[in-house]
Amino acid sequence: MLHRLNPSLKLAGLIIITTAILIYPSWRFSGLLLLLTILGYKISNVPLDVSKKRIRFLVAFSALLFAFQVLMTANGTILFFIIPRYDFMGPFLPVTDFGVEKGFGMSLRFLLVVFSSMLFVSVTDPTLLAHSFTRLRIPYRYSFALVIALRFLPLFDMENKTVRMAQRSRGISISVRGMSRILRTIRYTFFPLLISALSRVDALSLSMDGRGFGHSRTRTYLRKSSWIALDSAVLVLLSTLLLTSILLTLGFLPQVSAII
Amino acid sequence: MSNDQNISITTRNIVTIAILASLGGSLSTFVGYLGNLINLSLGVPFGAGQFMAGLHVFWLILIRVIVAKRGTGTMGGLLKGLVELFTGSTHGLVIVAVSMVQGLLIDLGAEIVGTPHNSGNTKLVWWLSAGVAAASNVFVLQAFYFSGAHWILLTVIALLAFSSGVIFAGYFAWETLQFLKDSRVLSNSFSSTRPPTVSRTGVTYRNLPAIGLIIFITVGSLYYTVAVAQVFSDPYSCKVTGLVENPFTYSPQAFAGQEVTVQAELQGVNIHLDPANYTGILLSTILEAAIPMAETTGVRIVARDGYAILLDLDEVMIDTHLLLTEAEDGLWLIASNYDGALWIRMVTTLEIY
Repeated sequence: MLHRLNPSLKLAGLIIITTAILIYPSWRFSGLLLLLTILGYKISNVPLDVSKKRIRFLVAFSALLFAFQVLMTANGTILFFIIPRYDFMGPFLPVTDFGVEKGFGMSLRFLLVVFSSMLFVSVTDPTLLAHSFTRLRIPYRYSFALVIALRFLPLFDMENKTVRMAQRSRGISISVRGMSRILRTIRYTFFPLLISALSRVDALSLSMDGRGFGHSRTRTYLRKSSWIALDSAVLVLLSTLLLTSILLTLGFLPQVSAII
Repeated sequence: MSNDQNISITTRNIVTIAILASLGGSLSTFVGYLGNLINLSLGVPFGAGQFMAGLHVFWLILIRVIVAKRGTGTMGGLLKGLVELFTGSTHGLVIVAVSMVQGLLIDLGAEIVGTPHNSGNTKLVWWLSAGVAAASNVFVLQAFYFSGAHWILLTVIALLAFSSGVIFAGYFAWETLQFLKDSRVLSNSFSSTRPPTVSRTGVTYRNLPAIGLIIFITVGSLYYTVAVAQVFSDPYSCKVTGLVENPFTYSPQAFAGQEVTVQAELQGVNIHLDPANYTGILLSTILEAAIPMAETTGVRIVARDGYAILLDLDEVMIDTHLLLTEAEDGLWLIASNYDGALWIRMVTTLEIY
């Protein structure tokens, strides 16, 4: 279902969700939005098939955020000490209920931002996103830059691999021992890729100019984004979410803030 | 700054920005890999990655120098951030904000200094703005994920990122630009001579966006440090605010001679501190100086880490064992007649409501 929504609306939704949890940083609120995001994966039939390496990073980083907040927060009811009392020493590093709450808040916020961004990327076609920008009166010449950048990615990935394989075949290995070696490693990788990339600029821009790109204020599209009734309904929901987070922060909804 | 700053952006410019942003986004995986290698070689689990922060800014510097037009740094930053978002950055949408702020700071530096060339102060300012742009990622990420981090920790990480920016997005970017010029890939923009001087009126108009940006960043930084991070606030002072006739910033020196000493014992669920003597100023004395309005009923005490408690104002005003004392990390609320959870470290605000 999320695939059918207007790409600009999806981007706005992502920004609103991120803003809402920044305005009202409650771990319950973040957890609720995270649950809704996971529900979004289900209803869009998008599998959470991120790589093991990525999952490991996400879990490790959210655990780090949790530990950081717990250790940095001294106030609240002390639950236990990480280093208990031994004879006349200690106890040290108290873990408080407020610290745990803050830790959950930060970890869930991180997971929410990452998972909602991943969902956005999974259900959004960049070409349609660029088109939807033009409907927001952003000149198509600028929004087309996003399309160009994304189209060139596979090519640069391939060239990057080629350059590194060529270096390996010549006995050049990646070394980070010392600044000069780091710079040499980067130089050997970046310079050939830069030359290759910039040498394409003239050919591509001349080709685009030759086809009349930028000549007219408007252009035609093979595939267009559209605005349907469902978009309007989602926009209302998103606006309500943002408004609710503002009201919660200002303390106008005490009954709701007691729950979330 | 080149004379073509105000000429509208051409197709070639757009393609250059898009291709460099794409290459930067594509190589961010490689940069992350280098960061991990440095972590491994130093034997630390994380942190050294900030030493590669300048390599993310490197692309934005190239974009701003090669397409020497106002706003191209920001546009490049936005585009590079979107590319990284679509290629599955582990920071999600936040990476777009990080990259765009970096581009904005580079544009600001470019507005101040003008056309990049290989001599004197110009190069220095470009390199410094590259460093500042690289360090900005620490504060943007802090705003999202690390709120409450100690300012010393933030400063150390930011200095590491700043150095990285100067080295990779300054020194190395200049070396790269010279290489591109020598190999005739780059024909304009990066000159080794000073640009022709422009008229005084031209300078004034040209600098208007820079002045606007400087004001924005100065006001923003001040707001951040004073209202959000409270980095530079005195740990031995706190704001007395709310429904009072005389709001002020409390500091123990202003109440010299009014100190009292009480014996208090912390009794928490999992902690117990033996009875000890604490010297400080009674909360009732501090609140009296603020002159609470007639309709007030309570006081909200807030700590630096965001912890807050509510106390009944009438009870506070008659409590002779409730005081603010100076400890090694700031003001502590000693609340001997209350539960241990109400003893607060690093008090920053007393708000009467």
